[in-house]
Amino acid sequence: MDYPVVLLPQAERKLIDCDMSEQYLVRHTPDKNIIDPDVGLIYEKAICSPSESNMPDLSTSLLGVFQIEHIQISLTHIGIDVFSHYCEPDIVVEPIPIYEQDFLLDPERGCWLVQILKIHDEEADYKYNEDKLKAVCKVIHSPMAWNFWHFSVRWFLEKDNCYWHELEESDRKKKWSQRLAHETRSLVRKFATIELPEPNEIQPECYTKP
Amino acid sequence: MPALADRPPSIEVRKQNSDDACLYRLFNQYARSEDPCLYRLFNQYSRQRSYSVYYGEAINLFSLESDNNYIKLTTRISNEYDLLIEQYGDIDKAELLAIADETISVLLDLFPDKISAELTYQNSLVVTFKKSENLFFFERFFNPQDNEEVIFSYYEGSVKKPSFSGTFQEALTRLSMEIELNTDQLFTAYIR
Repeated sequence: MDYPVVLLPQAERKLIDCDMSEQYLVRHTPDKNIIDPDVGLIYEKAICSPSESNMPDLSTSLLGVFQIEHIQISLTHIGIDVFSHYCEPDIVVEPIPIYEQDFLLDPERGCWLVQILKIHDEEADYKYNEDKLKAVCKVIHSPMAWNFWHFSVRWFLEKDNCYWHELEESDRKKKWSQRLAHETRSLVRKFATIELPEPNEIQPECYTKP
Repeated sequence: MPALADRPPSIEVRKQNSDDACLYRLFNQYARSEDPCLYRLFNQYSRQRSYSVYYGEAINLFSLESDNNYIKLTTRISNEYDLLIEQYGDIDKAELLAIADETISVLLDLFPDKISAELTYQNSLVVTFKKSENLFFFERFFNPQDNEEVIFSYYEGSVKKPSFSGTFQEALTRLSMEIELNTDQLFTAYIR
């Protein structure tokens, strides 16, 4: 099983600079039991893994070149050490991930999808609290060594003029983490779907250097 | 009898029965004064029949549905605790279930159209419920820090509304205010 090289950063690639708001983000789930029939929304526990749950910074991939079958790619511990880090979009990844050593395929996985325009720029506003918090959800292209199409769902704090994850460690950061993690999960649950959208091609000039 | 415009907000309750027919019950608060309530039944073909029943009878019918939801949701939380024992093992099951019980009971009293409850990976319980066009996410933490043990957010249709965090009681007060603000608007259309 060869690693799909179209997923890797490449020398001729750049950060995506076109409007991607109509495109969809995709995120794997541990299994295919995704929808809670009582309310018709995805389960809370389908949104992220236990290790990520304290971070209001959600990892997803941009659907397009990254296709549904790619959600089965599961990095091994070695693969995580070597390839699971943010990087420039144009690094050359060598050697590429090796099957069974760096990654496996997990056929049990399912996925949910959400259209970027549904969540990008949505606000979390805790105006009734004494320690008011206003944050804006941002969908950001954040390539990783194993996945050029990696996108992050993050929160920008207007008053602090920075992202939540850029704040210095403090009680305030910890407290807001809980609120913003809640906001991320609620936002995704409100707008996520398991229905595959119509294919919407991403133009190569959006991610390729001239 | 008061004029329509003077009537207090009415309450709508929906139920899915075993024949997949939708049961709509509608009664006005003035019915507490022993006036009969309007009670309407819609089947899956949208044919309807109307009845008059007394407040106590309608409440009994609602209580039955509410009890079923209560049993279903609290059983689910108990089962989830067992499945997530690695994460929740430090929290006494009886204490956790008492908190879940209180939360679910109180939220059922808000007459949700749909409701669900789930333990999260964050040592918290999330109750999700829909009421008319509104969707609520009510999260209660089992390890409260800084007196902040509840967060709720909600949507009116697709529009995100301000969120709130605070103690359980503070959150319930705020939540009730938000729902009450919408009650007239939500149910006026049903008054005949």
